[in-house]
Amino acid sequence: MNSNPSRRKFLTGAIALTPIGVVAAGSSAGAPGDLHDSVPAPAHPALADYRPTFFTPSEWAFINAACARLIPVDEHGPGAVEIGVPQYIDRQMGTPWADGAIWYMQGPFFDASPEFGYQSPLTPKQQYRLGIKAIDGLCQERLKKPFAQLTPAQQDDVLGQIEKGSLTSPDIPLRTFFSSFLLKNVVEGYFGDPMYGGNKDMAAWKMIGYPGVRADYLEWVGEAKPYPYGPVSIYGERG
Amino acid sequence: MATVDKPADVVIVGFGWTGAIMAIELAQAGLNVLALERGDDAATVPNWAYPKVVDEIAQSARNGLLQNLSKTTVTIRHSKNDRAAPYRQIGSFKPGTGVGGAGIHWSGVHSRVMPDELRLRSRVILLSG
Repeated sequence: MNSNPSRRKFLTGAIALTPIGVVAAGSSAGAPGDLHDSVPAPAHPALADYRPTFFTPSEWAFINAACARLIPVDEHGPGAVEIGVPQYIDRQMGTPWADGAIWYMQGPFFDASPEFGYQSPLTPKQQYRLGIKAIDGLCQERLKKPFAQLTPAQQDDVLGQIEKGSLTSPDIPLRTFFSSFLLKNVVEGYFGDPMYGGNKDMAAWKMIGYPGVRADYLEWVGEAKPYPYGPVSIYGERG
Repeated sequence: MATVDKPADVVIVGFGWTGAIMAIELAQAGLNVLALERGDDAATVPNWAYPKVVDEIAQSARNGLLQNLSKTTVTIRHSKNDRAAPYRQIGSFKPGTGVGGAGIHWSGVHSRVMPDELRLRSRVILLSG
């Protein structure tokens, strides 16, 4: 043998006017001296200070309104807006993924059956830009208001129709935008590590009892009772 | 200039969990086995050091441990009369890349720190800050 050794209810009307300042400030750096020394402390600004860098004010209103309907605050836990999911999505727009840089994005582009996967030339940034424009356009045309200014019941109806494929746009496949980008990214931000801007104070993890990135559960193997400790984040914050 | 290796009985493309097990079985059966790998060298530390290896956004949602399809990918079709479509995003087929770490792309897996390693670390910090 030769082997080379080298080897997740927010006031949707108001948010269009005040898309920021929705959650109290809070951030913390990694705990010094623990096992996280090799990772630099997170530099994300407190949520209250967050200004979107990719989304325009009207797009930001849409994102906040959509997040508030997709994961509303209820008796089980916080809403997507309250724990920073809009901020997560805006931050993701600044990553290589948002430009399609980790995908094969050269031609030929043609319709193929769903099992062949994503075949659109649109990057995530283009999906959001065109998707929000198309949905706001449809809402304006039918209900005389942009999405963010509709009632929660109207917003649920619009999102539900898009998800079922009964509300479509000639400009962009809205169902794909909804399922493969908007909803997916909302879930990521809600349940992802807080270093990415969502899941503030690991609130989503606490809700479901997820311990985060704790390293070792060996002494709990075989224990027929719930794990007793709260979550810990990648930067060592403890909840 | 082409490098000419000595002839092998078996060439295994990809020396991961599957390839490595095949290789040892074949070698023990007396065959001369050549295993091929591609990409940069990678090791448990630093490439998959805790806690970044359990970063689900980077590693699972964004497929950070898998092949970057922007550089090279495959096309897929059901039969020779179909038009082959490029495999644009990582889906159920998850090609890895790099030399080392084949098992790591099952996101959430990370190597256990042994007690001696923790003791050594504590000792070094105690002695030299």
